Amino acid sequence: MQFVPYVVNGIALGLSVALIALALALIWRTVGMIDFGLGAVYLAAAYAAYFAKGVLGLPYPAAAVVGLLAGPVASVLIYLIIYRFFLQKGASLFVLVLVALSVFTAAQHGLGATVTAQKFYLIDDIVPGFSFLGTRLNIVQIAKMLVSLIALAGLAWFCLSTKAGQCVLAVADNPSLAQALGVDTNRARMWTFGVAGLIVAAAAVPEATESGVDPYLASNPIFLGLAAIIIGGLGRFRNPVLGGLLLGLAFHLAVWAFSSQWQEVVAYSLVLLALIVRPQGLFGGMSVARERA
Amino acid sequence: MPGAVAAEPTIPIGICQSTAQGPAKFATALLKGAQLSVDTFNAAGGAKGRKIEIIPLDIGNNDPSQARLSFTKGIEVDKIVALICWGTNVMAQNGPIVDGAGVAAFAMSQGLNVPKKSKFTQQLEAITTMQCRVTAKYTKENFPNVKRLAVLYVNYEFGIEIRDQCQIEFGKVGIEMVASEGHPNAPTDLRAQTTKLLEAKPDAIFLAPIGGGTIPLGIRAGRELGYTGLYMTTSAGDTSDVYTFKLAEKDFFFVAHDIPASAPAALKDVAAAYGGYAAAGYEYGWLVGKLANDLTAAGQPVNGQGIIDKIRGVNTVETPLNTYVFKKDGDTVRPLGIFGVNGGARKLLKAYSAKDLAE
Repeated sequence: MQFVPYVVNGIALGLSVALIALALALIWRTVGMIDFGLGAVYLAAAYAAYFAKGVLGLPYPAAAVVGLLAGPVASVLIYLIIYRFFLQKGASLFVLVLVALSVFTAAQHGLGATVTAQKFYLIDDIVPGFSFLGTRLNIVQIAKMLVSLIALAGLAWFCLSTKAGQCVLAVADNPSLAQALGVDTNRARMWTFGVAGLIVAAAAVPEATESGVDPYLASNPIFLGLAAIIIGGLGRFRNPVLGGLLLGLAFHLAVWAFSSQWQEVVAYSLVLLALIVRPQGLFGGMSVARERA
Repeated sequence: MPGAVAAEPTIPIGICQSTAQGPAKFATALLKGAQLSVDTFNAAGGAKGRKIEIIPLDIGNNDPSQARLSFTKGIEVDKIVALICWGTNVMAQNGPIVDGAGVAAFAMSQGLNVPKKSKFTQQLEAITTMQCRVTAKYTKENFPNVKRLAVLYVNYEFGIEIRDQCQIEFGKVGIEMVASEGHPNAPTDLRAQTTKLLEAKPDAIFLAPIGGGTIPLGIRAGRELGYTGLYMTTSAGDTSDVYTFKLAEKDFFFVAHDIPASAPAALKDVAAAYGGYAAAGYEYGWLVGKLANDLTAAGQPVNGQGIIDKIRGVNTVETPLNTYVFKKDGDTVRPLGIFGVNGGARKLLKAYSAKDLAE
């Protein structure tokens, strides 16, 4: 039985999951909340790209840009309209998780009720690509992988080389001290949600291009993203990326070794294993499970 | 008010509505189609003055619990006497509610277990049994080189039943099922499953998702991975996102309901706009109307028990569109068509009568 195609496709999936993990990790480290609301951001970006191409008839590159812009806009708006109120009140982690989940669920079902749950496709033909190590990679898969690596490098550059990024890092390290030193935490959080929204949009637009859009498109990526930060840990931004890669490989190699029915069993067993053996994440650093308690 | 005449009570009938991918689309078609035949029935005076009233029942994301709430409201508040619904999980789990209230339930999209679990449930169509049978028959007649079948199915009762029934029906015509892989509802990636299926070197792949949205994804995954064989699916393929998918124009067909040339023009318009399930909704409304007339004329009450007894008693019913054979065990044989896709619309390739499909 072939092995390499499952590895190649697993890496492609893993790097896509890594983008969501990266956005979740950024918000967790800076704001201290697990932002399931990024699912709503994912949907906003995907539907914006579809609307631009399928309804307005824009060419694909322009539609992709519309989708990429919709991500940060949606993310910042959700922060300003909903999250900021709870954060200012010092809401507990449980409340913030519930709020974020409510945002995601309401967006998902709101789309089902208003736009319909039907799937819409941006491209109705084979996506161009080429044979690689016994399988075929299309340009969307390749774009997903490249975007993931670019996002990782871009996030490092943003945090280390820009004033806004350094403010975000300062708030992430010690919010009280950062505030005492004159860092505008509200502004730092807006930057955080904006950058996270852009990263999520960079995952959502290629996914929508390949798989079409429907209200349930974001569920898997968000939960896999969360699993990736649990597996990888949060010590460095590369850790969730490595966690995502492991998960992507687990998803595809489960089919190679057993059958597709075992995909979730294998992937989420990995999460349990990580929590038991290394709750700080397989690659070290802060733990999502214990950090905020 | 002095001089006012009390209106005859209506005959309330339920139609499920869904927010699930795929079913959301055909639920709308079902409702629009039923509205057409009900309007015609009511305009003709109803059953001695009693008009049919359609009650939409929300089953959420094909969720049995949500369906239970809606069925209960439909039964206790709206007093429905009949309902049409789908989803093996929804119908099998709510069979006792239907039986307890004596509601005549017409089931779409499932095969074996649903009628077995509810004495008042009658198939209006049986995808898992009849559609596998007609697909196998058409494949054998038109693609004699197909010897090896793979099935890519949604991994819950409906998909598993299709996998098993297709193995039986294709086996009867000498086509062996060589591989099968499941996927979750509304998957975003089918590469791993398709890669595994292709290792078994199938000549044909049967796609068995809940709704149309997954079909283009499945076809694309296979074509991108170099598969050049045949794709086929159930009436899940009878939706506009499949009609407009360019890759579905070659080496692909689906099973669906044919709408004959003699059908009302308004129904053809609704089917063109909302999909072929409009015809099933039309026939549901028409059947309940006919049975209400028959029961009223015989001086019998129009209730679920009466509707089910009557329909199983007459056995064969000619609607304005089709001939149905309603069996006493709840199974039903009905005509089906094989369709391809061309120029953004479905195209009839072959029609099979109920007689062609009876065992």
